[in-house]
Amino acid sequence: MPRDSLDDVSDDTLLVLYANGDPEAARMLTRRLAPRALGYATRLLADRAEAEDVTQEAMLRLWRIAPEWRSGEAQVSTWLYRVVTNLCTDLRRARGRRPGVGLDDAPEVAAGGQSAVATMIEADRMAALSAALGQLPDRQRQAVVLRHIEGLSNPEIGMIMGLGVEAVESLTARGKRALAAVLTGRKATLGYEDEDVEDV
Amino acid sequence: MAKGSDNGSDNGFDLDALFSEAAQIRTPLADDLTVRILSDAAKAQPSPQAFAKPVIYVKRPSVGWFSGLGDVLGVRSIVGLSLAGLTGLYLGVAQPAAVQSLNMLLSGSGATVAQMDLLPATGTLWTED
Repeated sequence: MPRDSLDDVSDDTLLVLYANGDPEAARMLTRRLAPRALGYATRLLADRAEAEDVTQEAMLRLWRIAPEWRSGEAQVSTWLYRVVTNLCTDLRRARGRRPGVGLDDAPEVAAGGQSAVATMIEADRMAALSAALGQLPDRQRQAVVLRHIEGLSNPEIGMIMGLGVEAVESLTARGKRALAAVLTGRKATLGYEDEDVEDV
Repeated sequence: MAKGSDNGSDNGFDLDALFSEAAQIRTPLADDLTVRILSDAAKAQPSPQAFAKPVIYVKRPSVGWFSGLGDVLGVRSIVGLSLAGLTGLYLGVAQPAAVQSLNMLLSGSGATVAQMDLLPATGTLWTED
């Protein structure tokens, strides 16, 4: 099927098309889902190479499950987030928990029209966020990233993590408090003092 | 895009601003990763030929009403019913000794079906007082 005609097709349908032998559906699914999986894995693992491996493995599992996929039972993206979550958890258990991450491990900041100073400040902020996330327990980090960075709803996160909505809310609240406690001391160095940010 | 903004500020640090910045950052796929993923997809993809395999239906030659009955009831059940009918006919016409002795064993008499009163005393039902 031509690429343009797949733009408005749902992930569910694309997966069915892929299972029926349409190679363009695989390209479209990769373009839609793999960057999200990679971004999420990078935030959980703070290691680009490992995150790429996890993304490849998660996508491979998606290809394999395609023939048995039941449309309407779950969103493809939710399923993929769940697989990435589990793979990252297994990987972190296998390697032992890393206490913190350095600037090199933070997600790359694109300098799209910003000044060099602004870019550096943003890179510093992302590195600080990444390092602070690395200090959270696994479940809190997963919940905070899914909720506040990936932008998923609490019920979606509940499906991904196998938790109820209240448990998700509790995890994200505790995660945010812990993050704030870690980052409060770095407020000035991260360039928030000069901005018009309303604090309580 | 970050949807979650439960409260704007935590412990004096505006996390939502930071989350919002982080959510703007997209992690681009490296070309080699895209190639690896698509290569996996090509290997794992079911062959289109598996779905395009033609199914050939062969119509059996018709044998009149028996064939039509066989289509409805199934050939095996028709054959079974026919065999049962023929067996019953055989037992009725030329009753073998084994059946007679079985009849003797079960009914206690050597009476044949023709000699037995299969509906005893039903005549009284029709008798008016």
